Amino acid sequence: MAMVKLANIHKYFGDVKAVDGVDLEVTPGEVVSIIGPSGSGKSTLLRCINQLETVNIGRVEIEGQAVVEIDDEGHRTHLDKGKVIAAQKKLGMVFQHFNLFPHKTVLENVIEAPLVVNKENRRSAVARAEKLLERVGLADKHNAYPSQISGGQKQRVAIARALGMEPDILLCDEPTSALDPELVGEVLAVLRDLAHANMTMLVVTHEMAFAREISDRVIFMDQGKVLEDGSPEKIFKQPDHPRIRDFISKMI
Amino acid sequence: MEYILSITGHILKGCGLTLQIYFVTVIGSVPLAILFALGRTSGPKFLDKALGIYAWIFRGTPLLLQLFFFYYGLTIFGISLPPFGAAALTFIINYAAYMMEIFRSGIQSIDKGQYEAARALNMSYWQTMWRIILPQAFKRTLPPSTNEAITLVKDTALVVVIGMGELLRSAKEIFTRDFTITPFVIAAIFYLLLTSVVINVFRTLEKKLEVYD
Repeated sequence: MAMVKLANIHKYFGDVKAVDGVDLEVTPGEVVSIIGPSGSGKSTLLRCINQLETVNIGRVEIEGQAVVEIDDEGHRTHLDKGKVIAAQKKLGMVFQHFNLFPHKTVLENVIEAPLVVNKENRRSAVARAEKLLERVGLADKHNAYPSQISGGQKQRVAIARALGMEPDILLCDEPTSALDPELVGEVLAVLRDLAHANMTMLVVTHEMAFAREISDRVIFMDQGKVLEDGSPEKIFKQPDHPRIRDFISKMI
Repeated sequence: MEYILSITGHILKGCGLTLQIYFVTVIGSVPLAILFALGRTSGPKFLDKALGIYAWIFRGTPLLLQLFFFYYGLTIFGISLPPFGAAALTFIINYAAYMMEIFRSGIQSIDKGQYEAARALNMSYWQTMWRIILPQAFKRTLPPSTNEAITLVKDTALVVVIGMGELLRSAKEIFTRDFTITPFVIAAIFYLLLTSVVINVFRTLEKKLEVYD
């Protein structure tokens, strides 16, 4: 069963077709990178998966459960709300600008959703959060506020926060684009570790070397469409489209 | 000295009423203002419009007039409120209008990413507002809220017009009786003490919340 299945996704902003009929399937444990020029709809597509953007047309399925389904005429299929929420809980997200909660400490950021959304008891939430923070290399920063740590550390906390909800699928929206170059490595190392631990991941990125290294599949988007979908070797070495070759040669 | 002590005692009695109105207004208007601000920022359009009109009326007319309206004006409709009830109602509704706008601007100043992060973690609307947005908005609205809290101390003096014996009126009574400005000086000192307490409370709060920037 596909972890994520997108069918005929359309998303418009006014007259602009940000996503223009995309189909995509992600299998368990697969790491899929989405690359392409800015404005090609990569981030929008990712945000359509966890409903940060409402699709205009299309169907999104998480582990077999439809979370949104809107036909060509714009009719929305009624879905069981409880099942939709349960499916959406399988998604975690990491943002370009981290979006940590500034008024909460590092530890509080990680335990917030487990406590409030899952009503987990505090002791077990804290124990898990401590393990996660150790995993991302921030065991000593529990009581720091986000303003007191570096960008790379913030993004690692954000990853720990997403993992705190024990997602099956991690969506990463340009996770290193807002970082100083010297801080990119530490975040990529954490993501690499997750990829090796068999986490299913969808990563929108401009880090070509990274995409090539960790991805099982690379998707190239242009003008809201998937131009090519293939193995990293294929996309980076002999893409079918000259546009992709152009783009990659500029990026590397 | 004995004279000063005796009139201070009298003014102190008036001060009690001032404090009562003060706290009733704070306790009544702040939760109302938060609710209204949420209504304006995330409720349906008509609610936003209606609350906009409410703010326009209560920020756009004198508090004194509103006090007259709720105490004298309502009797025309067969509703007669006791002075304290009328004063409390007027102050709560008036201050809620100002505080609503302050909280609204605070809520709207919070980055969209905060909502998205909460949403991506599957937090509900109320969880998001209560745990993520409002605490941050609250901090940002402390400076303008301080102004309102200080103004309220002084606005309580307006209740004399509906016959209530608050701080300033107690002072005025002594002035009329003894024809000396001492009671006014003492009243001024009382007001300064009250506003100083308010300022210090807010300063302490601001300091406490500074930890996270």
